[in-house]
Amino acid sequence: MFPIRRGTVNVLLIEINPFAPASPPISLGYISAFLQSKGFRVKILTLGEDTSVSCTSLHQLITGFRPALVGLSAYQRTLLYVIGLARFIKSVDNKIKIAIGGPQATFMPSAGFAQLHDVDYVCRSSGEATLLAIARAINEGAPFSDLSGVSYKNADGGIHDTDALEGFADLDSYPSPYLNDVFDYSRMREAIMLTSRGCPHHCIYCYTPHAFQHKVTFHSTDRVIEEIKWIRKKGVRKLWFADPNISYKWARFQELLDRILTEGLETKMWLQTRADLVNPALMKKMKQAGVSTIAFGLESASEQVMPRLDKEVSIDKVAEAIRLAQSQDIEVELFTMFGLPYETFEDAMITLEFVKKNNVKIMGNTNSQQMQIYFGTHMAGHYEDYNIRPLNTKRPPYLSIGCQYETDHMSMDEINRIQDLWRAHSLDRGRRIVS
Amino acid sequence: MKTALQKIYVILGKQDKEQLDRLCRLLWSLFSYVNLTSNLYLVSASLVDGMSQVEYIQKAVNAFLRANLFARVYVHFVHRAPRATAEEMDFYYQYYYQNWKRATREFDHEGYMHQEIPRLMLLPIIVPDDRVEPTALAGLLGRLKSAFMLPGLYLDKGTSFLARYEDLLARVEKVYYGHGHGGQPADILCNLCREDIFHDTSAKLEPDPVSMAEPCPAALIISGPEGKMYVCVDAFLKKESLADIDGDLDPEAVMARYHERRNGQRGCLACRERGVVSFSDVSLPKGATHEVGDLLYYFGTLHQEAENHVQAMERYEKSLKLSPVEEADPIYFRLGLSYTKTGRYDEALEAFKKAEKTYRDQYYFHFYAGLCYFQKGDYGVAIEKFSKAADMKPQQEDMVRVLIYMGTCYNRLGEYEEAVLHLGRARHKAGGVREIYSALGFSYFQMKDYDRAIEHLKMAVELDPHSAMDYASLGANYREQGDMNMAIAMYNKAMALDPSMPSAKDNLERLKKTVNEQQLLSLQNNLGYHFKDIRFLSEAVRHSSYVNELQEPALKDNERLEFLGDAVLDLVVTHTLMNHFPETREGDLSRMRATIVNESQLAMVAQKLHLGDHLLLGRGEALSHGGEKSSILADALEAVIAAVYLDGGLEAAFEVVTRQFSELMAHVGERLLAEDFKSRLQEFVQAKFKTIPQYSVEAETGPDHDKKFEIRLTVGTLLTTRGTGKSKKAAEQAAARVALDKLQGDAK
Ligand code: B12
Ligand code: SF4
Repeated sequence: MFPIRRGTVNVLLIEINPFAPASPPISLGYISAFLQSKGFRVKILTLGEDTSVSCTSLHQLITGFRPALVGLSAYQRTLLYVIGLARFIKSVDNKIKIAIGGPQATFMPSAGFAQLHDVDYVCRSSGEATLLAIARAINEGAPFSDLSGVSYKNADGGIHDTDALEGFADLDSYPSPYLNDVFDYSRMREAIMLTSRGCPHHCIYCYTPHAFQHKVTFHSTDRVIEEIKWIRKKGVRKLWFADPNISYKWARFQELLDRILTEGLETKMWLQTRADLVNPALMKKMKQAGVSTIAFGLESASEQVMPRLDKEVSIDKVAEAIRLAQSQDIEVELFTMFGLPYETFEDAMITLEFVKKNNVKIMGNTNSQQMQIYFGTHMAGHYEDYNIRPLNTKRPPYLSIGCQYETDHMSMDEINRIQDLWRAHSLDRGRRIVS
Repeated sequence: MKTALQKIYVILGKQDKEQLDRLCRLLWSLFSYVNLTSNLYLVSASLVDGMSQVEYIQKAVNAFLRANLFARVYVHFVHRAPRATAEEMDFYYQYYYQNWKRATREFDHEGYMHQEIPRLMLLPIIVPDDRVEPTALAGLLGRLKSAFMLPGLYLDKGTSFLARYEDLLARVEKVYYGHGHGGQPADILCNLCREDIFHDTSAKLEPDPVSMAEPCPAALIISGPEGKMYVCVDAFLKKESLADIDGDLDPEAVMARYHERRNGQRGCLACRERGVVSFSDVSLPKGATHEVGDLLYYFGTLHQEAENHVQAMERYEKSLKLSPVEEADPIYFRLGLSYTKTGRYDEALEAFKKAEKTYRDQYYFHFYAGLCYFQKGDYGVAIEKFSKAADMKPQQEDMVRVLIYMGTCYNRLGEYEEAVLHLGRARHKAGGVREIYSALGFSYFQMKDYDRAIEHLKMAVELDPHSAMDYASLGANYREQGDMNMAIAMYNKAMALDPSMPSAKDNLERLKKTVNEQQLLSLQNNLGYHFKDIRFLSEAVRHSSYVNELQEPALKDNERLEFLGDAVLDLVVTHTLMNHFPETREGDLSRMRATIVNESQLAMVAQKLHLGDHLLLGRGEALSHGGEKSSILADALEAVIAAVYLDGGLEAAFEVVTRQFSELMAHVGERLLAEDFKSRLQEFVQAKFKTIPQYSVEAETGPDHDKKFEIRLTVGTLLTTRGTGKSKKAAEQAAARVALDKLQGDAK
């Protein structure tokens, strides 16, 4: 046996979504920066609808880069493609280990994992530490030792779960994908920023709080400012903040905006937050700092639906937040859903009317969509309590219900009708950006 | 990563099992090179012939999708729709399309299970007949749509009327547009490709038009009937095939060649432009029409920047027809610029006028309008426009341009003071611009301030030593100052820099002529004769070398005059000698005349007249001092005498010759005697004694520079004489004179 040096195997990270243009995935960026800091060579491959890639070029990439480990981001809607890629990679070299991570992996049941024949590991929640442990184990030649936050399949296909692993409480402990030049800036039109992770709330349809144990963790303002400076230097002039609630801590967000202003870092910005986390002064400052669009989660404008989602934001509050933003000439986007628990067709219409009445353009993220029931959400575990009937009983176990359901209050037919209505009112034929 | 194939276009041939097999094997090997999401276009002349082949090929597609779960394929079956009734359409649907649709079952199921769009999509593209029954067609489209075979419609000139049927369009996923009528599968395929290129080009316009030079989205064209493959529609049209269809082909080698060909000098920008132009007369929906308009405008700007104004104007004119009114102003403005550049000033002004709303606050708008008026010679209006431009405070460099034009306008209008004022401002703003000094030179010249004019023009030629015009202007100023030599020198310089410059040439000629005339005046004074028609004298001083050089057939040299002058001179001299020497015999007279009318004597007379200064010589002759050559001078003198004779008759010629030759003739007797004792002695002795005199040197004394010779002369035994002199000849003459005296005295 040859001695194996530490941190020398190559790791390939892939994000695939053939239905949207490729955008540098911030999640894989973090993992890449982290593994690189531990001495691994990492490559990120983003496959979008505008990426030119064939079996031959994929084959060449794999045989050229020779990864020992390939990590794939898994989403409910892209899982088929993840399965396809995993199979392809194994067919090129079946010694390559394959891990999946991300939202669809975090709460995937073992039964689902069992059917992903070409996947060796499922990483739960934050992927930096979990994937590092796997890469190290492979490097050591003992691929399943010392893992945590991971489920794996051993040689005879048996599935093993390891202890849960919590991510760092101080996000600055993760090296910055930007400052470490993980991405190619030449084609980057906007930079996806992340100043915090997680959410403490309890919206019944949402995955985020559970994935982060209802905790919110932060980057320091210094770190964020440093990243913005670097990104601007690289010529990128648009920032897209992926934080679930960027204004969760007012003082901190205010400080960030102040520093953007005093250090002359004004940049066009997109961000999302809760409607109860804004005020006039903050809004004014946002405008000054360059915020062009702000997105709020409305979900439903029906008084009989909204309180039952445990979001704890009133519809009036949302209306007020819209006016605040609009008075500052900031574009507003509203996330809404239909097919919600207890929601009737008429309730769904109220939501549509609300959006129209408040002069929010129906396009991009404001295009409504049916609620998706994802693994890990409160809804996924309790759908029966909400009188939700899954339509596809033969669903593969690695997928959750998603949108294949109807409720006591809305039939499939009505769901389709409300969907068509939204589409008819849409200015861009219903093309969404974020899910 | 190498670019993956986005689209494969196949023209289906006849139903030939073997050919189809080969095609399927080829496609199978090419699938490894197609994109994650790819499109396969199968183009057939008919539904019935095509469908069985499509189904066969479909099997290969399905196998590929089954093997690669991340791949997605859109199969477009492009075919003519048979003209049919609603019932017949129904039959076609059930018998053909439904069968084909079975191929997607497994993928529809897979999509449903994974809550995503299926990886295989069937998209029939129907090419209707121009006598199609719209309702029957709508029925078919509706059925296809509800079976999730999202149909497309291909419309050309003959079928574009179908675009008016809204319920038809509501059932189609996409409308494709072809130009021309109907056409074969190959034409349809070309139009599909072109439309694709057009969309790609349009998408590139906004973010980065420079990327239009890159190849269009990677496609491959396979022609079943020809058995050949092509890298793109351009190659297909030019019949530059990539390879033959062969199921056993090495796909790696073919694809390597494919990329090589695509990235080689394909001229993609021009191809894209052709594609866009081909769409300019297709009736597209409004949005697409505007896109064509935008692109034509863009290509117009490219041509304009390359100074291809004819093409630029063509693009702009077409773009105007297709673009929305709100976007017309920049097109009109650009069009106006190209009109200006091609001298179509009236049309340019009309175009500018149409762009006025958008551009009237731009100084350059008024500047270009001014330029048109300037070129049209309407300097008053031009000044108005230019001053409007100037009022808008253009940036320095443009301000200078405006001022120069204004100055030039004033110059043309004869308002030189105003011109100087504006040009002065221009000079104040930018010191180093030749045009300013040039125009100022002109103004001062006109104001007869030649010193200032020369001062500015000198600056102009310092800034641009190749400016022939400024040298010519300098010439004109020197001429006016009476410095003819400088003037000629400047004109010569202008001519050397620009031999085609007509004004310099004319001026130089005229100048030389006046100089010539002035000079001829002094010649006339010297001659003591004033010509009635100076042209005779001009001709007389024109040497053949000068005329040869000018190559002007109308211009005569002095050789004919010389011929005449020779005779006149002979006549006058002979007549005069006869009068002077009534006793002298003919032989002596002849000799006398020869001592006068010979090259050296004539040259001497010419020199006294300073005739050499007046001669017009060719450059070569002038350089070798031809004006001092005896032969040239003598000939010219003869010509001058002829000129006098022709102008004033024999009397005048008589007078001039006697005056000029009076001195020579006065001494001719003595000189003749003095010079020719030897020959007279010989004549005498020979006639009388039938012998000839003999000379011999008796003594040679003195140093080299002061020699003295003594000659002894004997005539047989009759006589011996001696003579001394500084040369042998002089000594001989002296001896001969003594001998002659003795013998003639004896004879008397
Ligand atoms: C920003 C965002 C986007 C952006 C991504 C921008 C970018 N370039 O990075 C855009 C708009 C492109 C997007 C698209 C989509 N999104 Co989205 N998106 C989000 C959002 C709001 C934040 C994600 C984020 O950056 N979080 C911060 C990072 C650090 O966390 P993370 O993404 O979870 O990644 C960590 C771990 O999950 C894990 N991890 C992730 N990938 C991998 C891979 C490996 C191998 C390992 C080991 C670990 C690992 O490690 C990461 C670092 O700690 C979340 C909601 C949320 N609040 O999380 C939804 C969310 C992730 N999106 C969701 C969905 C469904 C989608 C789409 C499928 C929508 C669609 N219909 O197309 C697409 C799929 C994108 C793709 N490429 O496949 C769902 C996922 C639910 C699910 N179970 O599938 C979420 C949870 C929203 C929701 N509806 O609840 N999205
Ligand atoms: S919807 Fe927003 S507020 Fe509610 S739990 Fe999810 S992230 Fe938090």
